[in-house]
Amino acid sequence: MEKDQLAFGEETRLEIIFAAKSYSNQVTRRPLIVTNETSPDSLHHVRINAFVYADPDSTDPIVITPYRFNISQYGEPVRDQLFFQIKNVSTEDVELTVVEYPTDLMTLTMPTAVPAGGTIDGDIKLTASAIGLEFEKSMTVEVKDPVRSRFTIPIMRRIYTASP
Amino acid sequence: MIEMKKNVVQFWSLLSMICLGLVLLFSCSDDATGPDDETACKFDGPRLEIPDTAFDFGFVPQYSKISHTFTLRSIGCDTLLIDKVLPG
Repeated sequence: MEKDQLAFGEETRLEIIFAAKSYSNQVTRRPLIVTNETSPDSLHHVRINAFVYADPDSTDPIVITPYRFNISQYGEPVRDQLFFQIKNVSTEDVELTVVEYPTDLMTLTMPTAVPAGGTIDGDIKLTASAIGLEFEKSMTVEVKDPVRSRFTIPIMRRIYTASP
Repeated sequence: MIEMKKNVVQFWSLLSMICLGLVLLFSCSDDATGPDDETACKFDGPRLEIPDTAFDFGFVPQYSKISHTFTLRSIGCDTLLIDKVLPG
């Protein structure tokens, strides 16, 4: 959290990290935010939902590979880009929207439509200020199908330096 | 003749007062510190507002770590202290 004291009109951002571990199927978490409020309705929860899967090829209507984006640095030269593919495993064309990704760390390039049975290529490229950072973030995309299927891909970066 | 002059003076006096009233009315309606001002706090004490309280990640691979950022806003007249966040 950026700030824990807020005057009237001020905002802060609270990052909730979800570790999928070995969970499977539907998982809901409701973290509680404790404040100095005294009103009766001062209990504030936020809610996150996830559908945790074990088999990366089991998702529908799209399959994203790799199913984890690891853009770690293992030495020279600088690694600042990662390519991925999205395959449409359904029999209908699908449209995609990017719900969120860490825009302060990277730029994302990908088509927003995948023909039935087809595959598209996309990539993420780190910003100059993110190259020296380690992080664990994620990207969420949504398919414009009747159930608004969502897919969240972890994006991690570690910097490994060669031992002397 | 005198009576007619009196009527003209009264007419102009009345017109001036109406104009003055209209000017005052419109200048008051633009007053930024009025009671309906949206920038003024409406709640006594500290008060937290969370514009979006839920997020759906959808499909997530096992053994991965993902994150979402919620926005927290203070809308009370007193300073809001966020003591802790308990995992749910």
